[in-house]
Order: sequence, then structure tokens, then C-alpha cells
Amino acid sequence: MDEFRTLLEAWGADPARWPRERQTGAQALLASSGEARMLLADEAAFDALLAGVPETVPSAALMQGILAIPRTAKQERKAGGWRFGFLPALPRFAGLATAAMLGFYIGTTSLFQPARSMAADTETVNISDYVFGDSIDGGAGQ
Amino acid sequence: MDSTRGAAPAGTADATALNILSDEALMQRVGGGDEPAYRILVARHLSRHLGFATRLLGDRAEGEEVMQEAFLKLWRGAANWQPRGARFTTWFYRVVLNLCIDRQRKRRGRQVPIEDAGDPVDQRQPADAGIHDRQMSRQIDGALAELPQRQREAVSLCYLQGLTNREAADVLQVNIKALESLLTRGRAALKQRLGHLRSELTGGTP
Repeated sequence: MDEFRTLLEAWGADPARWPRERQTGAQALLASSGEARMLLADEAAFDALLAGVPETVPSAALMQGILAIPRTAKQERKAGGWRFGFLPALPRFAGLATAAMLGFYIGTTSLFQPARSMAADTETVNISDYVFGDSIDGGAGQ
Repeated sequence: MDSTRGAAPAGTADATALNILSDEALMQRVGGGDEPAYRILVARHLSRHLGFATRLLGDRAEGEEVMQEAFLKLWRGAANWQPRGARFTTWFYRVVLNLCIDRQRKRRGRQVPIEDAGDPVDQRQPADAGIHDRQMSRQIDGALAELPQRQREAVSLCYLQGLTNREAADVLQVNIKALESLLTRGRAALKQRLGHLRSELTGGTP
């Protein structure tokens, strides 16, 4: 009976909603138990209460607004789509152009000035030495 | 042909021919810019999804805005829409749900208390709905609004929108076991809050 009550508490009184694997047992119980039938009737009344909520009636203004969507969308496309249709793609093109320019810059500087690049590395090391001074080497050595 | 497009008989014939198509087939046509197919999808799904969005957000005006955004997404995305085994309904509920979640996040960011979001039910019922029905519906929506978000989504999809368990689980992107847990807790909380209405319905004690 507890299992039947659990079934009703979730799915209500309509057997079509009951999980298939629990239907046979529930129907057998209904056939043999008056208490089960009372529980079912109680849940059926609650189902009817919820099902009795009237359907929402859309206002004429809402209906007109929604039916006008295709026309409005077409008009918007005609008015703005052709002139400004490229705008959404603009960031992508800007990104590509920047990447191309950056690639060109890096490519040309590293291809034609390898010595300068190495010198920069050396310079970095030198700066590091300058910042930490001889005391690090000296300290480690001691 | 174009000159007769707006005429009632031709339009009716178009609509009749299209009306027998599945949502998925209509969506393929919408992808090709077919406005009559779009109009049929609107007619089929606006009411149900508006109810869902309004219930999740607890605000009719926001629900309407979500539906405008959802159908705009539908129109713009139809050309690239691929069913991939999912039904149109599941996909579209997911679109609406995501838009609602976005709004709820923004709302939380603005620190607006739920009580300030307005009456959860306003002008949702047909004009001829009885006062008793309206009051009952208002109380149900009020009780739903108090549920934690995921429980509200699950209960709305299964018991008010009428989705199957599998469809609801797909929309919520959870497995059936997790859906069962959400429904059990949501249903229990609703029963507690709506006990007086149940007794009214059954004519007995809650």
C-alpha cells in the first residue's frame, strides 16, 4: 500500500502516467483493495482541480504583435541588413587583420635580424646579473 | 497568385492544407519563410505556452514579453532548426523555459521580492469563466507561485500543460527519477496549500 501511495503522490491518479513497471502491481492492488480505490479517488479529485485551470487567452494586441514578427523581421532586414549587415562580422575581420600584421612583423624581424634577437637575450641575462649583483653567486659559493 | 493570397477563400484553403501538417513539418516550412505555416504554429502554441510562461514568472506582462521573444527566436531560428529526434513542442517549451529562467535571474539580480512581481493571475480566464472558477484558478496559481522554481516547472508541465513524463523530463533536462522527486514534493506542497479546495470538490473533509 505504501508503494501505491508513493506512486500516486508523484504521478497522480492517471494510470497512463504511472511508470510501466509499476502498473501491473498497482492495478492488482486496485482490484483487491477498497483503501487503494479511495486513495485513487482522492488523487483523481486533485488532478481534476489542477486540470480545471482555464487556458490562458492571449490578448488581441499580443496576438497581433506575434503575428507581425515575420513582416517586421523582413522590414528590419531590408532597412538595416544590407547596409549594416557586415557589422556583426567586423570584430572577426579586425582580429584577422591584427593577427596578420603581427605575424608579418614577427616574421620580418626574426628572419632578417637574428643577431639582434640573440643580443636581446644576452642583454636580458646581463640585466639579471646587474639586478642581483655578484652577491648571489658569492652567497651560493660560500 | 500573389494577388489572391490575402483573399479569404484562398487563405482558408491554404490554412486547411497546412493545418493537417505536424508541428515539425510546419517548422520546416517556416524555415523557408512560409508565413501561413508560422501563423498556424502561433495559433497552436501561443495559449499553452503563454500560460506556462505566466505561471512560471507569476506575471502576465512578463509572460507576454517572453512569448514575443520566443516566437521571434522561432522565426529567426527556423531555417537552422533540426528536430534531432526531439518534438517541436519539447524544443519550444525549452525555449520558453530558458527565457523565463533568464528573466528570473535578472529579477533576482535586481533583488525584487516575489510579492512585488504583481498578481500572478490577471485576465487569463475567458470572459465567460465563472467567478468561482476564477477564484479557484487564482488560488491554484498563487499556490504554484509559492513552490520552489524547479517544482513549479515540473508540476506545470505535467499537470497543467499535459506533457507526458518523458516530454517533461526532456524539457527540464532531468531523468525520470528526478522528475518523480520534483513532482512528489511539488504535489505534496500544493495539496497542503489547496486542501480547502479539494474538500470543496469532493464535498468532504480535506
